[in-house]
Amino acid sequence: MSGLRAWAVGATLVGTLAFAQDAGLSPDGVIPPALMQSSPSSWPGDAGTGGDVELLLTVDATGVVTDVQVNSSPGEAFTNSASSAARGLLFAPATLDGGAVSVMLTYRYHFEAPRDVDAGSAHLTGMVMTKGRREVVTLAQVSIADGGVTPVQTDKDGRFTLEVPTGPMQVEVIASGHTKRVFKENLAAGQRLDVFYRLEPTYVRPYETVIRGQSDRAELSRVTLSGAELHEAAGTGGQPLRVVMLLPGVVTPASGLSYPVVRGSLPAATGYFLDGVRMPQLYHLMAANSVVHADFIDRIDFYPANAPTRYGRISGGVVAAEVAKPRDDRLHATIAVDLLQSNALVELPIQSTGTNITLAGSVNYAGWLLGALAAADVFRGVRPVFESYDYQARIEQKIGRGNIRLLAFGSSDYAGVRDHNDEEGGVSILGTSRFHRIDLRAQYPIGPGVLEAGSWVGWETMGMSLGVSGKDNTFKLDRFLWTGRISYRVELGEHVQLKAGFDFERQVSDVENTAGIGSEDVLKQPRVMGVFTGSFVEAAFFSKQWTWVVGVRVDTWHLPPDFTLVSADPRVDVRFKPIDALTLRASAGLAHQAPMLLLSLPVSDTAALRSGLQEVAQFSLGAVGTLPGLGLEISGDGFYNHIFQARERSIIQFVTGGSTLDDRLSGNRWGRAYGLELMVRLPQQSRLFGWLSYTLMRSERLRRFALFTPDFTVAEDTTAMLPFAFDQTHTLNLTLGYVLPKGFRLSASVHFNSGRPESGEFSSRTSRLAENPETGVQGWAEVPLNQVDRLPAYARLDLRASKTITFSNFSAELYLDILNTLGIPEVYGYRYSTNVNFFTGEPTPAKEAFSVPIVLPTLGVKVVY
Amino acid sequence: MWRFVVITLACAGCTNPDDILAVHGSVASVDPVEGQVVRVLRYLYPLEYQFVPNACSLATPLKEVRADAEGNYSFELFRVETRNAICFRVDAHFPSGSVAWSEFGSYAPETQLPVLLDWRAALGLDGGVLQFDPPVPWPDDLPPVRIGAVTHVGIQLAHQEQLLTIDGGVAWQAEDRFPLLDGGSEYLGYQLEREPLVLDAIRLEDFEGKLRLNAYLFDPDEETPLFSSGTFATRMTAGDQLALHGTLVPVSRGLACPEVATPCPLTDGELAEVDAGMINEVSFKLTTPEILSAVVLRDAWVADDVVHVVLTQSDGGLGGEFEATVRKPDPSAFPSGVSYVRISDGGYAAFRPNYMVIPLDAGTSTSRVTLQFPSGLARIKEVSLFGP
Repeated sequence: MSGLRAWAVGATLVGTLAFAQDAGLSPDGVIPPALMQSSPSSWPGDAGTGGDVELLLTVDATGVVTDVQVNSSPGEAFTNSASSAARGLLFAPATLDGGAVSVMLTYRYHFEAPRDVDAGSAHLTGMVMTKGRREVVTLAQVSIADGGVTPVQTDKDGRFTLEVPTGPMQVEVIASGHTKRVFKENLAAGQRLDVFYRLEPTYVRPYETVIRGQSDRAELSRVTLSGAELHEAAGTGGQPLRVVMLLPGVVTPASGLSYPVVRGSLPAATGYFLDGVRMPQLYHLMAANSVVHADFIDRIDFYPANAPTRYGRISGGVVAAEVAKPRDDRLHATIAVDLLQSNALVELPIQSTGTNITLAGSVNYAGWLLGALAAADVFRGVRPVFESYDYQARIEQKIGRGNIRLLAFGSSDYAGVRDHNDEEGGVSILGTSRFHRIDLRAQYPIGPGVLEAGSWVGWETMGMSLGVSGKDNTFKLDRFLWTGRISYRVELGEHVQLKAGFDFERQVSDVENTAGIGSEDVLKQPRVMGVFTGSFVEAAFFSKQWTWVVGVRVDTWHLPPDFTLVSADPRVDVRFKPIDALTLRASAGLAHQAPMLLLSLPVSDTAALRSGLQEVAQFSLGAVGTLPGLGLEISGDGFYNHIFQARERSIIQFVTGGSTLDDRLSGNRWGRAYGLELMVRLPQQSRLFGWLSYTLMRSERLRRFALFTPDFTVAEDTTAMLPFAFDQTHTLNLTLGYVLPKGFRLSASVHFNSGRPESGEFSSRTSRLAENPETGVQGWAEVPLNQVDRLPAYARLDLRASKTITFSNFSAELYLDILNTLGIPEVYGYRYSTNVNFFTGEPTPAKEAFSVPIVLPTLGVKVVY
Repeated sequence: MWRFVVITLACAGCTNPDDILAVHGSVASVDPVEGQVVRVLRYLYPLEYQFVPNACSLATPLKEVRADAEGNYSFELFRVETRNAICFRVDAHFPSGSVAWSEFGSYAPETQLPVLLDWRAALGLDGGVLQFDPPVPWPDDLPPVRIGAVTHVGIQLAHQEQLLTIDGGVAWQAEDRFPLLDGGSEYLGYQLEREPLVLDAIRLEDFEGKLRLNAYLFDPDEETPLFSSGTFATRMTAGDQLALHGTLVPVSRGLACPEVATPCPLTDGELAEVDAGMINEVSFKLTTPEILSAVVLRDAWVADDVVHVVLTQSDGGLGGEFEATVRKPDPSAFPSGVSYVRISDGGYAAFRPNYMVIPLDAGTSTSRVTLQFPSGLARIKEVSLFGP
């Protein structure tokens, strides 16, 4: 090897990545380009002592450098050398949502003046790997810290060979996405030393999930959160799905209840999907962990309105989780243990057959702890019950250019309160919710596009048991579902995309009820069956400034033998980008859904179908832009949902078949929701990240109600547009996270919402003091619907702290996450009562706030192998 | 608190004030019933806590509906109208003079009330025994009805006769449904005893008035076409009434009763209520010794079930000693008149009027009659002593 050489080696600078194609979008959610072919620069000769040339490269969607600009340079000679060399670099292109995109990035060439290498040199050989991941690092630069030796790069196997001088030295290893590290070595002349270097990744994500507003680049209302924003947002317990609760336009009926109410609709109007398979619930017991393992999810698409046409029969939002693509490099495993539950995931590739198997699940053992506490009579004769588990399994097999995937998942919850004194007037309430899904899906390229076909079957059970004075009243619902779907997507050049598809769903539901008829007798309701189909077509057009997506979905709703409804849902999304830093967006569409209950009950939709469909027109208009320099992303969207037909009823109406004055509105039962959603987001570019979301909203329904006096005499009934049961005028979420040195992370979230109407629909009903004209004594009297108060506003503080420790072959994260750290109780209603003095008989009206300080602490450890 | 949490959230909308509660019923008569007025009455619980016994009798009119040609009627209530309402009553006053009503106090989305029947009883007296046509044929058997088994028996039918004087007082009252007691006073249920309703000379005394006949009907098994739902009872008063005028004057008329008041309000032939102050003894001294055949108590509210009668001869000797057990009718069929009176131990006891005939067969002449009430006498209207 020659003794004198002059080289320069380039190194990417992560953190300054930007879209070349769409600078208005955040880089988060983008998988950065990876250097595939280096292009060393030569020493320009007699140019000085050297230095760094920092370049701004434009890398196109094929990974080729198409433009080079100079940010800084020690001199023109170095600039020319570096610029020329940079055009020879080749990258694996950056990707967004699975598609290659053009990006700009900074790239640095480091020039060192050549010097003599001692004739008595030694050879340092070795391998560079990522600490905690057991992944080799390619194209890492290995050099001697004080220079004078030609730096080398690791090859595709992460190996390198470096000719070094003898004696003590500091070996410097630099690699994209890793922290620079210096290793001390001492080699004798002629010695050949084989080493094994591990580099700390610049970030360690025990999870690798991305949540986005929408997966399709053409669709609007995009909210993109990723990485730490998903897993380190305080109060979410590290559960990506729970971050949905912190997005604009989303409110919850009660703090800690992960039951999203989107844009003034009702909870049942929002659909939850896992890889296109509809789930009845997202969270255990509507408040605890996600029913799907966090690592099983690759990304979450949240559509507050106008979801893609493949999602049908939903009139509110869509939360669509996509399972992570199988990794076929090696065995991956995670296990997490916290105070109340444990979960695990194992991913096993069988490379010889192209098969990938993933198993995941969680089990909750809070019930055991509660049982032990109850045995010690901590709860004074009452035993809380809290049992849950979930599972996911996936087998994916490559077949030629396509693949087949079998996905099974399910969840079971059993919770409530058992009163040991229930034979003496105590009340025991227990509920169960269980579902299972098995989905078989195949994808295969056919012609210019991709054909996807799938089918899933599902079972659901929902039950409630109310034990009063030793007698159990039970309600149990079983539902079997069978579905099928087929779709074809084709790209016609760069500017046009077409989609078409068809799906069907068959439901059979059985209800058993013993309520009110004695626990030994079972009342079986008539079996409810429904068959639904959907057909959709969608066309998208993309240009530099415009994006248009136009689609229509036609659904049929059939109840055997002879009842059928047909609905058509046209949708259009438009995006216009006048400048790189600003995107204007608008959408409009029509959506239909079967009748819903205020709190979702599976069979209710089919059973009540004969009363017609919920019909909602959805409009939104907004903009998203970035503030150069600050790195802030700011978005604002106004929306208006016009509910032509509001098919929304209470559970008790459904169960008893009763009616209210609202039913007299008949076809005029309509409503609307409108508001403004704002979001200011600081993506994680440095140690600080966070976002502020605020929603100003009004959700109203035309109501018919009675006007009555305090003596409960009805004067008349009237109609008026009144706030909906879940209407909350103001909702604000502020989440901030900070990455400390040595793997520590802190985050805090502040949540605020104004109160819901105290209308009695999901609360108490406002009562006011009235005076008995005969006795002058005051007592409580309900007020008409248009005079109800609102519940008090509520605010809470969530905190999270974590520490990641990276070991040679695995990493571990210790975390403490507390929802409602200060234990602030939220008022859900009031109890209006009259206390009578035992001795004097004097009545005293009392108004007692019903509030429970729901605190959800999570203390645990997660190990990633 | 947790119970309230669960109930409030799980039962969202369970008690919406704007719920519509539909009530259906019908009227029946031998005459055309189209246009028959059915009143809906409601008794509201006061805003403050207050116990009101037999509250439905205090219900006030809320609305009126009319029956169609088939006799069917229906009306709607808003749930808010049921707030603090102890009970609702629907009644029909037929042109014949009969009245029928039914009461309900639980509020379902749909309520079917029993038929309100225009009862023509064809009243008559035969040898002091009341003759009449019951509203429905007499059941074949009348097994005792024990508590807890009420829903498994057939039609229940009970009657009540009332002799109302011209001024409205009740001179006599009798029923044919009594509690079923287990030996002592333990209440096991009730039994229907189709005893003749007797209104003979001593019961009639010399009062003048009209005989009113009430009936109580209940069919929990929905086995008769009369009831479309067995969950509610119906009560009725026969339209035809029997005018009666007694002529038998008791020997006690005008006697003194110093333990109560002077002049004695118990022997004046006026059916005015007298507060007896829970006295234990009342005595009557006859002006001339008589051989007595019976003592009649009208509207006597006694604290226990026993009344002792002690006859004293003119020489002071014991002429006879008798004990009578008050047989209180079952209050569930005809609850009117039940009231609560503070008793000696400071508590309250449920009272209802008792009309008693205590036969005396001493066979000796009596100059003084002493009535003893071991636990006290709360109220009474009249005491009558009859000679042979």
